[in-house]
Amino acid sequence: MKYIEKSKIYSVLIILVILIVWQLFVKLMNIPVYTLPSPTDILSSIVNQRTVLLKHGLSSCIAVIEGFIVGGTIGIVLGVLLMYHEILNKALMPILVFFQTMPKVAIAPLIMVWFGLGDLSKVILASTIVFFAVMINTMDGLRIQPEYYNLARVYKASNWQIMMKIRIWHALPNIFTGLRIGTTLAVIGVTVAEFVGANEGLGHLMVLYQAYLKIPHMFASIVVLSIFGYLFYELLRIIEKKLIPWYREE
Amino acid sequence: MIDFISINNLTKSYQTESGEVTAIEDISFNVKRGEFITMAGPSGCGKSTLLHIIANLLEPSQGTVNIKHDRSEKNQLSELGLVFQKSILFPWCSVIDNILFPLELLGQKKGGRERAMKLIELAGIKGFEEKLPHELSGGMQQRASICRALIANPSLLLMDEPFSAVDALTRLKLTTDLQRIWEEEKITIIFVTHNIEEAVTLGDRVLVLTARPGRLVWEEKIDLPRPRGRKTAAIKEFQDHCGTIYEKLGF
Repeated sequence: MKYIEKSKIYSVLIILVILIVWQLFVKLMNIPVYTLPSPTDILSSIVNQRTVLLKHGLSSCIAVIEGFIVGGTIGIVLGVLLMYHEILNKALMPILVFFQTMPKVAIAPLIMVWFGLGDLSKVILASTIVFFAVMINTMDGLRIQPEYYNLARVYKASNWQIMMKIRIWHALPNIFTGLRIGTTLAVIGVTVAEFVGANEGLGHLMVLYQAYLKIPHMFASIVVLSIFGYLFYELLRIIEKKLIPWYREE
Repeated sequence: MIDFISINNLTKSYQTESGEVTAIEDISFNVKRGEFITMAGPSGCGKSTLLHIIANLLEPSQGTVNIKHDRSEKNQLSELGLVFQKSILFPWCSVIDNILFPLELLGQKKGGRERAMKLIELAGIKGFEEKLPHELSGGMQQRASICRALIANPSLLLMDEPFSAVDALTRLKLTTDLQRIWEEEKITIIFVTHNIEEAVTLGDRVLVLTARPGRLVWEEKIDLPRPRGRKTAAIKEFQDHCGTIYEKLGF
């Protein structure tokens, strides 16, 4: 416990040092605010723009969480299905990989055309990125050592029993790895969607601020988005610790 | 009298990229009910293959395995139990849930707890039933996996080098305790090992196998009094038995 607390103090110290150096650098070198605002400039932007940031931030958050849930669910279900059904696996996997290698940023404008400038497009873009990471990790976790199979087969277990009583449990740590990666991917997906075209959200806000050269405000948006992404990731880690206590202690 | 298990002319060969490999060749033997059979031989003699065929996890290329199961026996839910080299307990559930796992698969988990507790006591891991496997030592994990193998009241217990991953002192203790469990549960055991002394200590008969292909070359009958332990190893007959087996293996 001591060790963890110590590491947290170090993290905070490192961030403080970076902020102070940044602040001094900007002020002493007289760097114009439209090139690089100082941390205090950014802070005052956050305070000034709090209602706008909150409104758009909330819109982004909701889209991120929705995209994460949709993508995560599809990823887990598809992972289980593909590992359960070998023919389906062989048939679908190349298609899924091909689809995944397509740059999502490039298809973002198309998704906007098809599904409009609202929430739906953001969720679709985010979930298409999230699901693959979750699916691949789920599939990895569902592979079990032959001894587990043999044990189950001695008691004439069906494939479905082996899936539900052994493989899913075995996969939980991997599923959570996928989901943790998924949180950051969901943020990226939603932000890209908002850049390309949306009428709400922090990404959308940044495009507006950029047009007016409000650089400190842009930084403010990034900070808010990053803080949310970080908290989301940490939340997943806490849930993981509670849900699969055996894993970390092993 | 027809024996409990009769194994006739078992051969198993695999197709590999470099051609056909024969794991075991023309192996025949019988096992009486309640007997403790040990199989000893160098690695690559097909001991595990043979065990998997007896467990019906692997099809033989030739030959047959006949096991005369008596279904009426002491509410038997499974004909056989399996213990592996590693304990392979599930890390996500407690020791008792691991032990009850076969009953869960069989849909008989209810009422199994009492039996599980009896086995836990017999195996000497009382007080650890609610712990997670990683909180137990290697030896205790292996004891739990023996309980798991016995939970469904099998008449036959197959053990694949179960003590090879634990330290020497733990091994000695497990050897003694396994004999007690065997006597108490009145089961038949086929126990595979590459340790000759362990095979002689445990077995009523030691089946000696040579490698590549795995062939049954000798059967050593052991009449030493039980329970056998550390002191048994000092008896001259014990050493003679080991000596004969080493000789048959070409040492």
